[in-house]
Amino acid sequence: MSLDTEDTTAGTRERELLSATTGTRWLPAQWRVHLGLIGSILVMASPLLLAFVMSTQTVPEVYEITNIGIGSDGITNYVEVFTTYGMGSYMINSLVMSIVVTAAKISVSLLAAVALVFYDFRFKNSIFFLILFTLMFPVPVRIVPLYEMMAALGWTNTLLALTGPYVASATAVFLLRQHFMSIPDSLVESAKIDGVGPLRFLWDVLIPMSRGMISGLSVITFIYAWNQYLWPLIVVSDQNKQVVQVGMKYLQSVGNAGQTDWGLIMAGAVLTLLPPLLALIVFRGPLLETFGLSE
Amino acid sequence: MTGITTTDLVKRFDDVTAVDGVDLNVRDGEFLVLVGPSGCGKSTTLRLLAGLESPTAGTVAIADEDVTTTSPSERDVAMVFQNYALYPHMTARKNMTFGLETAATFTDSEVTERVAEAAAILDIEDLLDRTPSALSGGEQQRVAIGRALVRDPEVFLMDEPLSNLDAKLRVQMRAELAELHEQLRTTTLYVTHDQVEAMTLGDRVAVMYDGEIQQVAPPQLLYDAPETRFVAEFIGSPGMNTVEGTLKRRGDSVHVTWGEHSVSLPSPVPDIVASHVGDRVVLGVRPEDLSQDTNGPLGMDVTVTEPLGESLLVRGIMGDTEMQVSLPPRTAVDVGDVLSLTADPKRIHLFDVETGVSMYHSADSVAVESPDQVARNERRSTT
Amino acid sequence: MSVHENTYDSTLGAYLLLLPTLAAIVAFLYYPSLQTLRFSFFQTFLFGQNTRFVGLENFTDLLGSQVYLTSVGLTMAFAVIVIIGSLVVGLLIAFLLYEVSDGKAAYLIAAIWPYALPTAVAGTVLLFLAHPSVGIYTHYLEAWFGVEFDWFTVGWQGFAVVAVAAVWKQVGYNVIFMLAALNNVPESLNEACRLDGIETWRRLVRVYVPLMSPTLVFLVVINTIYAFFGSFALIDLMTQGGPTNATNLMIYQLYRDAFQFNNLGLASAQSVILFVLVAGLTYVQLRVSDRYAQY
Repeated sequence: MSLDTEDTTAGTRERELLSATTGTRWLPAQWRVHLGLIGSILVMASPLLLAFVMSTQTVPEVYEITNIGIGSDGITNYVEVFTTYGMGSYMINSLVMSIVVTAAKISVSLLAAVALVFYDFRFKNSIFFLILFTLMFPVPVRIVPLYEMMAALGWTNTLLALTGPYVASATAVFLLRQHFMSIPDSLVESAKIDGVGPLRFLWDVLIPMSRGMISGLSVITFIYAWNQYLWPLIVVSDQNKQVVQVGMKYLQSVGNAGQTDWGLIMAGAVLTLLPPLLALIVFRGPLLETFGLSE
Repeated sequence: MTGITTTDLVKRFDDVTAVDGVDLNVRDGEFLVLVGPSGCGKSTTLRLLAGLESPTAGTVAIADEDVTTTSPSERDVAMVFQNYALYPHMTARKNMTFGLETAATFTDSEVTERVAEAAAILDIEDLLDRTPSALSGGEQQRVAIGRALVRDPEVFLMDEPLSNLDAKLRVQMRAELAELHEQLRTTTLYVTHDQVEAMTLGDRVAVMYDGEIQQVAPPQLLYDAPETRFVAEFIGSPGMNTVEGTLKRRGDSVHVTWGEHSVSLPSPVPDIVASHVGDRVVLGVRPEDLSQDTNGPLGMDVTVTEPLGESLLVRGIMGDTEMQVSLPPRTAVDVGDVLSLTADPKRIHLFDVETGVSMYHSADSVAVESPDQVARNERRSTT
Repeated sequence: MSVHENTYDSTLGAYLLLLPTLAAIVAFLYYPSLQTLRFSFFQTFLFGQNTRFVGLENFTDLLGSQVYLTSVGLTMAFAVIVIIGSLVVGLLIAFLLYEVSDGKAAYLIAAIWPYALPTAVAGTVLLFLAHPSVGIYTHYLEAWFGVEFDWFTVGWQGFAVVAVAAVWKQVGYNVIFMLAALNNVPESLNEACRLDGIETWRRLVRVYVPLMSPTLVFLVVINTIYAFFGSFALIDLMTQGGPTNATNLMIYQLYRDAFQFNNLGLASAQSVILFVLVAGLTYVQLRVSDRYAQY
């Protein structure tokens, strides 16, 4: 935030005002801002940092409550939780589910957005509203019949049940539609004159021109799918097929002689957090852009 | 009739009539420029021809076929847009071939050949593998033209393709377009708001205003014998001076007078002029057709002098009306001077004061009353 | 951009493109939601083996149940706390991010990472760190403030811990949108404030917040939906509704009735009530904002 002050009387006056108010009433001296940020960030991150540290500790070390040094178990907990306690297979289940949901949601929404933007038909606006309105029906509002449906179809404990209900997305359709509407008129008309069909147009023109948004949506969807808890809890009863979020619940009972192996559980928690966190960090550019925050 | 023909073409948007009964005929192989101010309907007309809009009434025919209800891709037209419309993520080459691949009318080797040919003509061979972001405005426009070329269509439609280029580049591209047309002779309809572009490029020029075609004629004829006041004022830089006056007879000669000024018409005057003696009339004379004359009947109070290098444009007041005169380059004139001027008797024009329709061009020494004009007169007097 | 609409003619084509989305939302969203309504008028046991039409009896039972009414009250209180908490914390952090002049990129990613935090991880980690007997937070809390902190038995403490976990998880999302909204404030306005010498907090409250109002409205709605529906994993992992129903939020009660007590009709009635409540709140929020927000 630097003012362009030239060498004029007005510029000099502005500079005087600026220096007079800096650090007192106007700009909280930057150090205060930095302090505030570092403080709040530490507070928000401390649970995870502590969890990570504890995950390297042995059970006795964990029970020495105030011991926050790196433990002597190193990454044993991670290896153990991954193999013996099934986190490995849970993570694979989660990965498959999240990838399928992301791919399906994006593809299906791309098609819908093409229809809503490049065609004109009688019920178009009603259909768009119908799609948007689904935002009012989160899982708990339909959970009982949905479960019944899965049971009736024989889909319980299958990938179909885990992914099916997530295939449609109001947000994705909304954002993609917005983006398609901003494609320059002349490009669309040029394609029209050339007689380019809708699928070709989607594949060769729309998708390449929406790369940022599609990446952003993919990350958002992946994180969303990875973090699902209630639905997998209900629709998957076979532990081997469970996703990692519910897997954490299974971990809670791990321990012996009345001492829960919290270090192990923390290792499980950290592992569960890693994929979406990494996705967020690596793809923060497109993700932030999709939310309207450009760097 | 080949080329393009529209019959009574009308396009209405809600309560705005953008195109109001346009009869246009672009001859086979002709380069016709459709020119007019912003909002006159020229772009809409072009888009109706392309099939990007469907007409409210009227028909469009291309190469003898009625295409009024045909989709754009079936009309065998290629369009060049003002902002090039290049796909940003494709190379120049891919941009040029993308449309062809869809049409699937040529084999792969034919396509490669055509691209090479077009690239050679437009001198963009080295640019074919670049993406639009790596090309300058002029280069992008050439790729856009190349894309149209490669399609080898029946008709080229161009929507102000040079408007986004800077002045010098525009002049250069104009010449290149003219050369291109010489070579290819494809029927072309070119839309622009720049009358200089229109005059220099068109085999014929169609002037459009308020949804209607005012006149279609070769450039020189448009300049010498404008059929309406609008065309007279629009064509030419600067356009024709016009002023409302009264037709008076003084002995043998007929004059147009306004304020204390008068311009006499050469004798004999045709009947149409004679019959309007005593009426109000619009006098038109171009700045280039006024010259300094110490005995001249016209006196101008100079307000602005604009040295253009090859001429001196002087603005001033003559009889309460602002007018312009074009003088030889190094004439000594200052603001505040009073210039004595005379009008070239062979270059005087009269227009109807209500309809703006042309009544008389002194160059012909006969009133201009072509069948076209009679019909226009009739139409105008009944609206 | 209505010129895009006329690109393609075929209405059949449009419907084909929309088919996957429409099929998915009818099958997995609208149909189950309508079914929920239907189920709520029945008493169902054993997954539909025994059904009995009872009209509004499920609803009257609920509205007469002390447990349920308490649950509603708790949920409302929870919602208020979590919405205000996560919005305020989010606003402060977003504001700090906006004001800081160096290191924005680094601070940004450090501040929004909780967006990727799965609810189950948040719950598990806090369960451990604030554990009454083995948690490090508990230790220091008791040491510094001399209070007895046992949220496994003290109702309101359990409630507080779950609320804190919920706020922690949601802050990242709010920061992203608030920062985007702040970035849209014209620089000239900032400079005008500077020259007028307006203090920081005043600037935030009197200038920025009103300018951010559309985003804030959006966030209030999203946060409301989250508060009502998104806290399930936290409860399931940390308190299972206890201690003594102190964290028995509506969504948890619903889960219990549906999948532990198999009282599907009653659970469906609860779904209906939840939907009406949230839809009503959303409507009220949008109407109120219409009057106060500046667009």
